[in-house]
Amino acid sequence: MAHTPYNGSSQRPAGLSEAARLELIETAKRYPIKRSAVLHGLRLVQREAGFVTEAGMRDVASLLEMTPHEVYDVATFYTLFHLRPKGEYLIQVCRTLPCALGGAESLLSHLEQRLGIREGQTTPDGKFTLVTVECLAACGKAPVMQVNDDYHEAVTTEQVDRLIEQWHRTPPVQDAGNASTRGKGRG
Amino acid sequence: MAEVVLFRNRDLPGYTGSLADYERQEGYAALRLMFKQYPPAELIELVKRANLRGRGGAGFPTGMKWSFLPKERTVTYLCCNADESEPGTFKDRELMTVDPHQMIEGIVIASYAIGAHAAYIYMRGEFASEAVIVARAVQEAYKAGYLGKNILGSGFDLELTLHRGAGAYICGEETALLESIEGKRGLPRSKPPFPATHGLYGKPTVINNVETLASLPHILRRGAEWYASIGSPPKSPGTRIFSVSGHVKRPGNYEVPMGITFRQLIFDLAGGMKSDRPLKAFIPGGASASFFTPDHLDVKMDFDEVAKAGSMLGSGGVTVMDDSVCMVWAAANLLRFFHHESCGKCTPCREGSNWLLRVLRRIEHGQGRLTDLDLLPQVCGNIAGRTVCAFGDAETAPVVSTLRHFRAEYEAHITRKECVMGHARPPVDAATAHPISFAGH
Amino acid sequence: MTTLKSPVTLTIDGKSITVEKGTYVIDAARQAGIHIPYFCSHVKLAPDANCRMCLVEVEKMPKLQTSCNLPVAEGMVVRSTSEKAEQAHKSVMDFILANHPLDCPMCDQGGECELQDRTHAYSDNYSHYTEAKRLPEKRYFSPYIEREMSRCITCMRCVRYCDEVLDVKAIAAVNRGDRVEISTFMDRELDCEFCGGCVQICPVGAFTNRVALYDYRPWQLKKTETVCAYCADGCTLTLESKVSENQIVRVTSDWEKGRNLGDLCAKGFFGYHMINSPERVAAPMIRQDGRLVEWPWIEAIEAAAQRLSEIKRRYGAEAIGGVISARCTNEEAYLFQKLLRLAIGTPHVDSSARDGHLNSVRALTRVAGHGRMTAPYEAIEAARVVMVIGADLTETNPITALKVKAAVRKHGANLITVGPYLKEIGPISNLVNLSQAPLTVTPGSESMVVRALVKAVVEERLIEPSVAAQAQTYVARVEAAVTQLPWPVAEARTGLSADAIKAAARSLSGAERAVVLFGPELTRQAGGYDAVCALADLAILTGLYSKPGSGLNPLCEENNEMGVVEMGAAPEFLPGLIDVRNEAARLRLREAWKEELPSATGWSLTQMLEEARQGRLKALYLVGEDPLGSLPASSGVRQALQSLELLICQDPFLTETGRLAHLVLPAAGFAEKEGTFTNHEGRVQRVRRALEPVGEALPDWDIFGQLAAGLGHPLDYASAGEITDEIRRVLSDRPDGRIDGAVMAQYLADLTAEELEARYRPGPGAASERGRGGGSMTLVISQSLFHSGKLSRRASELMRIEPEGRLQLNPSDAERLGVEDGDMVRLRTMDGSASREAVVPAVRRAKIAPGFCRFPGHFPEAGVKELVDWSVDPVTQTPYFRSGRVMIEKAVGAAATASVQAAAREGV
Ligand SMILES: Cc1cc2nc3c(=O)[nH]c(=O)nc-3n(C[C@H](O)[C@H](O)[C@H](O)COP(=O)(O)O)c2cc1C
Ligand code: SF4
Ligand code: FES
Repeated sequence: MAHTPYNGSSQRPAGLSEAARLELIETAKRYPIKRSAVLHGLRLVQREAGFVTEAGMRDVASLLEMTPHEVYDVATFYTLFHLRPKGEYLIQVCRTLPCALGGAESLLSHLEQRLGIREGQTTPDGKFTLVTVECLAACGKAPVMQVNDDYHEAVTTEQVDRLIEQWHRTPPVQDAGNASTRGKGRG
Repeated sequence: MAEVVLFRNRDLPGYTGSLADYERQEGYAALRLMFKQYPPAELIELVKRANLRGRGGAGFPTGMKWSFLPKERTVTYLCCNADESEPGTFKDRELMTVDPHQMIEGIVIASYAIGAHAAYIYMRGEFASEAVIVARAVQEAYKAGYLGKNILGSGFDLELTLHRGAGAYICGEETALLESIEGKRGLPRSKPPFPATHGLYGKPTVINNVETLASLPHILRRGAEWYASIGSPPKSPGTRIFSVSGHVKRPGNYEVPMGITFRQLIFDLAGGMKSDRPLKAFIPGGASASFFTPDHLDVKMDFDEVAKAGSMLGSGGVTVMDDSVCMVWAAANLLRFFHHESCGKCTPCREGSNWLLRVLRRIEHGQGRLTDLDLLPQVCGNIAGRTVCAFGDAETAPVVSTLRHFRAEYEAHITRKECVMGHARPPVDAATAHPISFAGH
Repeated sequence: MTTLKSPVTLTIDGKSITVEKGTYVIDAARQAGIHIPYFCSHVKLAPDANCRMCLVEVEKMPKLQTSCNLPVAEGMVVRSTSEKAEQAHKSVMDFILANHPLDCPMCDQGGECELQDRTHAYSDNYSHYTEAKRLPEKRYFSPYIEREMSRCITCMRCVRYCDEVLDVKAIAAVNRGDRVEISTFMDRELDCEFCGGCVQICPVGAFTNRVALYDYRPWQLKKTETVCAYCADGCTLTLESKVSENQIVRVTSDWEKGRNLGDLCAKGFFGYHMINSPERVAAPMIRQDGRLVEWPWIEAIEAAAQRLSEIKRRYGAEAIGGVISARCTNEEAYLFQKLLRLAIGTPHVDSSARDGHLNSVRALTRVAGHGRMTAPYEAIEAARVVMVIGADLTETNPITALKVKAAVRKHGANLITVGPYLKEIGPISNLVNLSQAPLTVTPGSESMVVRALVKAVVEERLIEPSVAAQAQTYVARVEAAVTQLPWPVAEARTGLSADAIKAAARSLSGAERAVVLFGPELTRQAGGYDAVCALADLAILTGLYSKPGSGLNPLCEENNEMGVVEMGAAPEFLPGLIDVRNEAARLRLREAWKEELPSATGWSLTQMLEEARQGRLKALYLVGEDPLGSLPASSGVRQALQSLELLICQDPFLTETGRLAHLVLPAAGFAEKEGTFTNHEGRVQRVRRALEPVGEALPDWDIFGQLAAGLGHPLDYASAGEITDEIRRVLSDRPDGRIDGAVMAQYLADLTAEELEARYRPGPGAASERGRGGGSMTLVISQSLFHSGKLSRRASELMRIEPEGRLQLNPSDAERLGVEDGDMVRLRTMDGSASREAVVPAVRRAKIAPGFCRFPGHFPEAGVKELVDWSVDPVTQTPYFRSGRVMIEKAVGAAATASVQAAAREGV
């Protein structure tokens, strides 16, 4: 059995980009321990690769002085991290009680019909993945779905149809919400 | 109705929540006042006198929480709880997007009061555009000298960092939140020791909800006495934002003085029942609170009155259900939520949420047994009060309260396979029914 | 009853009890003989309170409380058997059992399962749960450890142990809620230290020993508590064997016993197959017509005695020498030197402790009267500052390393590591990771670091006041001596800044309790003796010898190095570390033994080989020693052995040296005999017999007795215990680990300015000292966590874990050479015009400093040992053959094939 270091690899398969590495190193400086930046690191991996890749987790581990196992254990706890590739558009339908009262079930079945897939599946062209999620904190405008990073509130079936049309034609824009905050002091 | 405090800028025409807009509405005036007039100890006294109680769920008096910090301490942290994940609650989201500087000012005030030089906003990961807004506001505040070194020439330093979660309801629980900032799984810690002595990175820490912190500038500017006198004094003063969802005509956030009745909130403010069907049940304070029935409509919305009536004001999320809603279905829906979100640390919560969910689903699908009606409260009794955090109690609330108020409906499901929603659904093979997914990802 | 520092009195189940403040209720109950049920709680771990089984009722507290993390309070009234508490216990059992499978009949944990036992005691006899059971998918985990997640109760003991105790973190919880499983990164095959801790600490059968899978029912195994025979950490093991098959089935260790308190390393946990190895020598063998043939014991002994007598008659007793392995028991070492000194009458007796440990013993005995650790494990754990120098402790002494880890992780000690090592987070723990300011030094400069530390202590006025007051002459002489070592030279040689060295010196001398541990990269390198002497200066000056809880700790390699020397298996020491030249002490021994003993100082192992080559040593009696296998050819060992008229090898295995022997005597292994081992702390621990010896093998002491009888000089003992008794009697007045104040006073007074000056003279640079090979990389032959000498080579599971030696390189060096893990590299040295080389696989290790490379010494066939420099210490005769300078290149094409490796294996 080979006891190889976790971080000794010189030829790494696509992990974090140089820019993301720098960003992660900077982010880690906001905390007394590097490990605090692990969620951000995983978010960067997911932003770049579309899902949380093995190489990405190894990179996060070595940059934050963690074992890959520790990174993996964190990644599997939080539901926003996906360890497998997903469609270009990740449609997340909230189905917790307030949304369920507001028609989440019919929204879901409409989506299933429209996309020709069941909850949890991805369209064969890799365009859409349909999942259900728990409360998104937008219950005042049920039903709610989050597509990639964007909330769609009080959605009607007509709206959904229009959106799907539109998405079929265009690739998603890079999500804006992953910007991390930094004070001017450390830029 | 009485005056609006936290949302006072929300409906101003053209108000964008930018620093300039906020400053035009006396933004950061409280901060200047504070540095001029209030040494930290007096500030804590002020908040105590205002009798501000936490808006995150437990309603713990904020001033008292601050004074639990040990006298001798080197590093202190403040965490702003912006995880907002209690189903039915969506007030912090609006507070942060409409007026982010109000929260930031509150954070600086609280940090100054407790002597924290580093503060973290823990925001749920799903909030992406919200994160952009708050991040921008934080940057503005740094630029304007409201954050960073020597704030407004006071000599006080504060580094504020936005820390985003990644999808875990439990991280709203204060100690799980700390674990999450430390880069770990969000598993609640056993208390004691409390965060006041062993918090973030083992250092004394205060965790306050967004709304709690956002109230601070107003208390400073207008005085403790003013605050203590509005709402439902003496025990529940101030205004509070209630998130109304479900079967009402005008769902949304309503800032009202504490102490109005549920009837006023649901029927006067939220426009009453959608489709004019009768009210059947409502949850008074987020999914962790016990269900109420129309009999409770005249209960005053104040911490103690709601508790006396058998539920809790919790996070301020009021979810309204009309008579088309099956209570077994509603309970099962929430149990699915709790089962999905249980962190898995404590045996009773981990195993109990699975157990309750499976039994409820069986009943919902017409495969219930009358003995289940004894089993459910028994299992709940074995969970509540026996876990590390209050999640265990929370997951039993929907079951116990719907069983208490709507037992006949459960019985109908079991004996007559009848349901208001046209359930009970077709029976399925018990062995393979409702597999609970392992994948999760 | 012992007195408590801050007593707290409380009542549990009506019983009033007084315990130390800070005790948890569950432990207080245990002290009172009350058992509160639990799962996640464990003596080795900080409480986590996740299982919720230990709930109790506490007066004035509305909710039930978990007793595992509830500190006692004065006047507290606790009930663990009230109706409410008992109901809670039942309900938690109901929850745990809800999804637990009923595969107990074939679960290896059956019979020692905490869940099984508690179910019996605390649950209703049926489950209220009638829903479908959750069934996690079964997936492959590791060849050594079996994982069955359906049995897991998520107590997290394994994960917590791997983190809190081992600092390895190879396993983690994945997913959340009731989907939690224990797994590795991306569900890969487990890669870790294989300490077996997760198997041992799991309360159920979720982790079991796969090597023994389905081989046993625990209650059928005979359990023998003994001491591990691999390293000097001295772990207590329970050998569990099947009597009918005379086989060890598995090894366990009791959490509350021994110096290791249940912790083991891979050698202890998985290394037991060497005992029942098929390669064991089963019968005596005699060389006949150039071949070794089996022979009956009686005649073999007779032959040995006859030939020894003949050599003695022809050349005198001094033509005979003997060397015993430091893996033998104290009793055997004691009897061996008696056999040689009394029955044969030769002073030439030595042991494998010569190989480095004698440097420590000689220096420290001179200073403090003995060579043991002066700060035992408990003191290491409690120390405020720990310095580890000249050892990659995880690899050399994994359990001692755990004590250091505990000092840092549990008690917040400041750890200073000194060596050519960097941080590396990998499957094997790394003390450097726990050091806030590790001193990463130029390889081979450890002894220079020691000298520089002494200089810093002197110059920065960090001398312990009592020492400064009492030993003014000594202090003045040291002060003078260190002036010869200018800071720029120290900095250039060590690669450290003077400030870093001064900071370390300040920590050491300023600490209330400080412990320094030192190992092979100091003691087994040229100048080892002087280095230990300098380290003793450091210890004296910083007060390590005088501050309570502080100490200077030599690390040993083989399990009984400390013991064999103390038993007199050394030419310079009689039993009890008595200098052979000490007439008065000799006289006392003569009285005890009622016999004359040779008066001359004997030859060391290295001298014996030299004398054999010169034809003055005619017979060599090797017990468990294999110089041909361990020493490089440049030592001339083969020629020496071939010059002998008689070579007797007594060993459990046929070694390389054994193949040259005239007589091979089969010895019992540690599991087949009784006696004692002394670990490097100086703890004498009982070794117990678990098995009948393989074939006709006999315990070494038994063979010595028979040989003595054959020589007409009976040394009669009916059992090893009788020898133990004699040792106790003879050595009753010998040092017990305390510092001998008189010895130290004498030492400080006697130490001359000249000697001190020589000690601190920088001499030629390290690079040129070791630079004979001419290469640019410093090679060190090291120890591996998974091996111990060559004994572990006989343990099948350890050979599976680490089957071959790999040259460890810094990734930057590897990149420069274009080498990936597993690629073959050629190491070369030039000695004049002669070039020697070896071709071995390489592996990148971020912890290895650039310019440094190391190769595990357990794989001599790779030929790497032929590349190092050979020298012998002028004072202690310690042979040095662990380092050299080499050139490294990638071995390309045909050169990278196994056949070339085989060629290299032949040596030069
Ligand atoms: C399971 C659970 C979830 C919680 N989620 C939230 C949350 O999303 N937001 C929040 O502010 N408080 C939440 N809390 C309450 C916090 O633990 C804590 O009491 C609160 O942040 C304190 O702030 P306050 O004193 O300002 O109310 C939660 C508590 C529990 C037990
Ligand atoms: S959690 Fe468990 S064992 Fe654990 S101890 Fe308590 S509860 Fe106890
Ligand atoms: S229930 Fe859907 S957003 Fe809250």
